[in-house]
Amino acid sequence: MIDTEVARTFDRRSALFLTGGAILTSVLVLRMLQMQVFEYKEYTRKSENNSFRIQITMPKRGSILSESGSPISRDTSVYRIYIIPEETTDLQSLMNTIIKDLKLRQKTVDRIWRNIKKQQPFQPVLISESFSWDTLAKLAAKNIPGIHISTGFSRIYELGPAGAQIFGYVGIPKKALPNAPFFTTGITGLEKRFNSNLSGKSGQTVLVTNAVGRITGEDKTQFIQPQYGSDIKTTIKENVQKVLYDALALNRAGCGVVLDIETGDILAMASTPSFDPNNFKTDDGEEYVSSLLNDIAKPFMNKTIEGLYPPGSTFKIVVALAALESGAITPNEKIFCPGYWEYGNHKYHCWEKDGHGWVDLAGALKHSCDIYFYQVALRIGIDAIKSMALKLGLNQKYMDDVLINEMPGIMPDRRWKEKNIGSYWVHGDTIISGIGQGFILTNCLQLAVMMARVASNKNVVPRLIYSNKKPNFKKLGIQQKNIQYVLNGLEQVTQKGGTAASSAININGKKMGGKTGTSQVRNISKTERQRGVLTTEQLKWNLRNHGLFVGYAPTNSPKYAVCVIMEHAGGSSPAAHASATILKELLK
Amino acid sequence: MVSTTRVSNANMMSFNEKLSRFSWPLFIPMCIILILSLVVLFSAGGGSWFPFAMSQLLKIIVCMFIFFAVAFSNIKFWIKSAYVWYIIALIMVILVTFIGNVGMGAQRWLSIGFLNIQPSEFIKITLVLALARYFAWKNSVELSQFKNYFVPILMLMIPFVFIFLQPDLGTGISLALITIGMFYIVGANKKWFLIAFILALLAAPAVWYGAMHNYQRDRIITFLNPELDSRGAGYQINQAKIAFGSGGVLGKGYMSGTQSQQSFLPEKQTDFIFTMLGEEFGFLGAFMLLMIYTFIVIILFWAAKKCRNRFGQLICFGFMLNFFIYYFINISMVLGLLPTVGVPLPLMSFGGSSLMSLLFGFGLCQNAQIHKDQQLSSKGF
Repeated sequence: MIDTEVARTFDRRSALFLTGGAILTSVLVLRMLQMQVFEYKEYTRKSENNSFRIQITMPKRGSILSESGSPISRDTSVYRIYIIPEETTDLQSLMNTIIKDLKLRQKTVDRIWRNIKKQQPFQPVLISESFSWDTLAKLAAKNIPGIHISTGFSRIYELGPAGAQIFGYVGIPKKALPNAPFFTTGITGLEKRFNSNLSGKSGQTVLVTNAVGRITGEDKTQFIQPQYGSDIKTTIKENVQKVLYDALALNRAGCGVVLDIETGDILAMASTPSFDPNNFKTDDGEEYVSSLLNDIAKPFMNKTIEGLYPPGSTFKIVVALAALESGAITPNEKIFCPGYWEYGNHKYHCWEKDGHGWVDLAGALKHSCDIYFYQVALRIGIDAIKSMALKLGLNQKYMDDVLINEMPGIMPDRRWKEKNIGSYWVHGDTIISGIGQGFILTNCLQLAVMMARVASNKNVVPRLIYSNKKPNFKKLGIQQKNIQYVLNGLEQVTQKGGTAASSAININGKKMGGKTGTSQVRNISKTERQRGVLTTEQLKWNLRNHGLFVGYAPTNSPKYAVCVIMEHAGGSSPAAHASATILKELLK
Repeated sequence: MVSTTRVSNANMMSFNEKLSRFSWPLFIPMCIILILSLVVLFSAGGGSWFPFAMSQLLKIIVCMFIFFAVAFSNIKFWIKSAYVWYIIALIMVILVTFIGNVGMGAQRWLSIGFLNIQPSEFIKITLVLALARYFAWKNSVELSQFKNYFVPILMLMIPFVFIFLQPDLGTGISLALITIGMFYIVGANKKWFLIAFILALLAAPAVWYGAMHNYQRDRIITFLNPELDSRGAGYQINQAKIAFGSGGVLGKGYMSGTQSQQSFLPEKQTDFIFTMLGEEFGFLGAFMLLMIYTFIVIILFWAAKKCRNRFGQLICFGFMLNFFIYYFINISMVLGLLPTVGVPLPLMSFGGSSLMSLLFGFGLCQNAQIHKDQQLSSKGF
């Protein structure tokens, strides 16, 4: 029926179709294999990015607790309103709605606009964390695109500025998490050092979204419950901390440490001027921070361990003990103080221009006679002084595991000077070391430790993290009678005629002993001394002497040690006053 | 020609005789795909008969009546009316270009009451019918003369121009390929194809700048460089590739395709249904479907080869071409091998026009099979 020639053409030419069909079908199969077998993982990753939206559930951050267990820094639940500028087409009208509904102050509005300009349009801008439920509900009901309401946590710092450098604060990390815009991390202090303990583990909720980003459900299999962070319990006593801070705040700048001699617990530790981290989140937060950064008194510095000061006359405790232990002096030996001492070709001055006359050890400590200690220092030499200083805890670090930037200070000797100054050690170096000047640098915590060790004759080691274990400090190995001779002198410091007589306390017979100190910030030249040394009032603030006081109480059975340093206070009495106030709080 | 089979008159064939000649190897795979389409559409509806699966089931039932009516009718009816069907489809194509509704910028449809008809689906099968009718009674001498191809070229070009203007690139190309294939198999001179190819190349720039719509150009540019615009014109194909690729070997499981179920995949029930199949049933599912298609093509080819009359042969061969081009373009498109041109997946995609034209085509092939031993004259006697 079919024309033979036509039939033959069909057979011949159909081969091309069969070949072509086979090739094209193979292409499809290979492509399917490529996509579903070889590139499967890549497509799966893309698919997951596509259809899941991971919401990070932030865990509640652990609290920083006081010794009694009450919170110093804690997380509190908040509702946050924030906007994502790129999600709205009309930012201005969105802002107008928010301003009207939340009754925002002009300051807040300015801050929000500043943030909007500063940030990328996809980054959330916080509107507020504190508002009533009614306003929240009203705003939520409007369902305006771009406005988000979420629950979260906000940090509250109960002690405000008192010890802010030590406890630290939290903030949004430089590389903010895209899924958790208000996630915070410890920026300084204990918050930073113990961040991994405090922060806990974040959870996640995996939401399933459709192509337009609308959430259609939740993938329960990928849900992870957040784990709360653990608390950090410190040795800080809130009331003492507050009193210390208030006492320090009477001066422009300073720092103080209060120790429990028996346990080494740091009961209070503060540095001024300070800052209140609660203010960082306010509308004026940025201004506040920049004013703090510009303050020459360095509010962010934890001066108790980062600040190095010549110990001044407080160092005489070290010299006295070293001399007694070496046998170079007896407690009753008297040295004459005419107000100056000429040695070699140099004239060394006592702070008391008219001299103290004949003074023994107790008198020298009571009146803080410089001439006595110049001569004693020279007798025993720098090596004996240094070994006693180290034994009493100077030039050492204690807070390496707890706080950052601890400075060990300097306790010089011959080798140190040759290496660091490049010249030989001379007698003059030993002499001025006798009154805690020259190259010696200590920090406030070390001086408090020194006081605690002298008062207990034990190797007291300070601690900031609470433990219910009472440490068993070793004996220092100093003869108890020598300790007693020095303590007798220190007791007299607060008695009539002593350098801290005006700061004497007596609570049910419990008294305070201690040692004053002033450390020179500048050298007084010969010509200046002849013209008459400038009084404190005549000097610029930052050229005035630091005032120091190390103290302990009660004198009959020492329990607390304290060191207060008042920067550029001129003299030591503000520091002694502050110490007295703190010890009164502890003894009452 | 050897004639051992008893040749009966077409007019005299009993229903039982027809039934005995019915091609089950062609019918069964077709039904398997139709059932599979319901399974996938059930998933596309989010695990529901609505809005797709039930509607498609009703369409299948209606189209099955057409299929059987065509399959068991007298072949002479189709010889006589071949051009009529073609002209009806052509008129609808012309009508739709001027008064049709546009959806998604692709195929147009005519609304007749509650029916939405896409004439571009019908023109493909009626063109096959008309070409078969035209070439069936030409002898080898006539088939080697170029003048005998003028009419078929017009048969292609008239609907082609209108469909291209709609603008429905996929159907236009399908029509051209079907016609070229038919020309080749009937024995057109090979040089003509070369000349046509050169002419097409020369015309390409004019078409690119003159006749193509912006979105068509976008699609082709996107196809050549899909990463260029993954949210705009490339969005669809990127999402489709992600869905398909993430299916893996075994798939994400029935009704668990994250891409399809969460509406990342546009047109998942129509042009991109293969992607959904690939996502939920994996390579295994997609490969199996492709093999069923291939099986149908082989059966159709075999039917064409075994036809003792030229008309039935060309019907089967033309429909085979149509069917192969249909699914090849669709699958290549969703796998990112070709630009998205808007061609449904035969027997799988949701929609009545495509289904009806396909079942009409399958009906014609069955009819050709039933009458494969008939001697037929061009007059239909």
